[in-house]
Amino acid sequence: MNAGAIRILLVEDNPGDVDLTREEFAATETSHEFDVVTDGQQALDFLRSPGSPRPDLVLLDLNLPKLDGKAVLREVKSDAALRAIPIIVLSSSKAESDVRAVYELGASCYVPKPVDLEGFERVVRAVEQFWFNVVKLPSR
Amino acid sequence: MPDFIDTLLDTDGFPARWHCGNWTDPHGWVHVCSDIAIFSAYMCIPAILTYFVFRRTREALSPIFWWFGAFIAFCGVGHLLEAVIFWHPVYRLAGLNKMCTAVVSWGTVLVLVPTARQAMRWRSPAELEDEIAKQTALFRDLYDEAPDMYVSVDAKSGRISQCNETLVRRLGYGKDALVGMRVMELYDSTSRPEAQAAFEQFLKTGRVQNVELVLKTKGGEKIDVSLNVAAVRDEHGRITGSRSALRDITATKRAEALFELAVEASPNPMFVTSTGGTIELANAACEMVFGYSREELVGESIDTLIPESLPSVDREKQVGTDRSKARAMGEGRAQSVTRKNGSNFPAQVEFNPIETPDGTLVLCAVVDLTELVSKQRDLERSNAELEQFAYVASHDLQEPLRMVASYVALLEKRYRGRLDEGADKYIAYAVDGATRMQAMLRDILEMSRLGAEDRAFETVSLDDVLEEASQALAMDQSGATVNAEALPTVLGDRTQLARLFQNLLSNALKFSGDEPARIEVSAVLTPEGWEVRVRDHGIGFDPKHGGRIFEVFQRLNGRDEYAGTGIGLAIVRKIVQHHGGRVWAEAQTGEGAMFCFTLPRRELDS
Repeated sequence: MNAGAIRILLVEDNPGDVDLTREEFAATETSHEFDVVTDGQQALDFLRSPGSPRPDLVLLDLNLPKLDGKAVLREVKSDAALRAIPIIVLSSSKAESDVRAVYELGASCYVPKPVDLEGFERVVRAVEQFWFNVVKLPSR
Repeated sequence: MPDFIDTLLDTDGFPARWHCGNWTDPHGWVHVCSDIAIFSAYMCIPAILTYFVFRRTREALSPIFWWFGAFIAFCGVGHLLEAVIFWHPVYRLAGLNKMCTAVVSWGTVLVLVPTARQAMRWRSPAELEDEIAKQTALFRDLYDEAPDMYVSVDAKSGRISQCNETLVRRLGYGKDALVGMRVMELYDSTSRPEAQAAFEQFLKTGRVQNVELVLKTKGGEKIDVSLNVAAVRDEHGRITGSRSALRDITATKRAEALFELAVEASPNPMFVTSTGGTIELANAACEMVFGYSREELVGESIDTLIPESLPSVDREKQVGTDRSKARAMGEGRAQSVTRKNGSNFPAQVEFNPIETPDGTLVLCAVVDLTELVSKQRDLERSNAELEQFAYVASHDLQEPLRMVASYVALLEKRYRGRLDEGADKYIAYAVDGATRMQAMLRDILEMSRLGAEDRAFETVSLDDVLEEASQALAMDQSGATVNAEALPTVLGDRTQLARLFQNLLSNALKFSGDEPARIEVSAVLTPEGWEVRVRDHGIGFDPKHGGRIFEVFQRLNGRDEYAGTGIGLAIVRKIVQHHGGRVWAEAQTGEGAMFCFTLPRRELDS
């Protein structure tokens, strides 16, 4: 449905999770490219810098150093130039208050981080199915 | 006939007896004198009898008496006439008299027969005297052996006129010494003024009731007694003497003294108050704990120390209306109690109504709970910290564990069969370890969340909850049967009770053995509350493990045989404890198991 490789901005401070995400997405059939930043401030800098490629999709962890995920979300969604970008929040928190806050701040959806590899595989496959194949992403 | 009457005194045709036959003088005179004597005697007898009987009974004489009198009179006259005939042969008069005598005699016989029959029934004087003696002995016995001491006193002299054996024995004086003794001497000198006052009151009113006095025995022993006096009056109503009963109340007095001693010696402050709350007595501990002196306390209202500010306290209602059970004020809650210096401390206050001869009094006990309360607070804080710690630890531990589990799984996926056999095995162990640890952390998280939850209890239908749990486990699909009797509606936390049933049912399912699970759920009402039983017919377990199985992470079977971390029953226990009940299990290996838990009665249970 979407032409060309999909660009994903991964905002994640845990290198283990970064590799895991790359690993699992590599197993999918859709062509995609990852940009990785490891804290909230870097994420905003990346998105605002004219030199960096604009991502089609952002995978955002909530638990980040410097600026946490919710702050990033707030910033991005109040920035007219950036707010159209769909943001998927990935977080190990199951707290109802976090979930609610994330949706209220304008994230596209909240995905609880799976606890095991199998779960992770399922999530990635689902993301691929839905976001790459079902959904029409806004053009860059 | 009229001829006969006219000629009654006629002596014609008959000779005087002297001239009728060869009467010698002595022979004749024997007849005459005897007849005269008989006549006079016969006249005297009725006269004497009438006189004496009349004087004794002053009643109308019975008919038999008159008949008999008449009979004797006629007989007497008959004999007189026999004597008279010696000179004046008044045979006609004599004949008439004889006829009358005959009639009266037979009349007497006829009247006598029934009377005689009646007389057979009368008792002889000996029998009557015997009867009287027996009755007298009976009453004498009652009097003498009465449990109380009886004394009769002459009102004028104040001396004892009569007393029973009980008094004699108890006081040690002989009967002779007592009769004639001044009654005041029976009393101990300390008691005499009151005894004197009682006596004076008696002389005025004729009655004395329940006056407590002290007697003194011959040996000097003092006896506490309760005196009751009734008056003996003459025909004009004046008091001539008294009848007194003295009851030994030493036992009662001793009990009272013991009670006072016990109250005084109690380490807890104790008060005796009226039903209105006015302090009448305070023990030594009151002075120490509250800082008031006893004099300051007596007469004060107990509200000074124990404020009525607690909304649930209505002391009058509590004490005045329901005396069948004494209740603890505050019912287990610590209540604030004020000292003289204004400081407060937490205490448990209990009110017990006690019946005394002087009316209802209230016994209050105050137990200082300061230490208990502070220890409880420490415990609560420590518990809260521990639970918080468990929550945080298990929550934060999940992250690094996720890394381990995921990457080992990735290793397994990528390198399975590519490294040597050993590597495959090692990786498998690592994966297994990580997975298990993740499961245990989730369980610990759940346990600590259970402790943190403090939702208010609501009415929960156990039938509904059981149904929910069955459905959540898809019981009917696995071929399992759950037979439930009508379960009660109770007060509890719905979510937790659902979890409880789910855990028990899932265990029953898991350990059902080769056959499909057969589970029976029932509830029985006991004095403790509802006792719920979940019985299965699975593999059971050795009863000696009955205690262990409720421990956290305790498993009775190998990991390879049955899955699970072993926290299911620990969670069940925690939930039951949260509801105030107990849980236990009964089982035999191979014969299934029965898990029982109690849910204590609460108000609003149905």
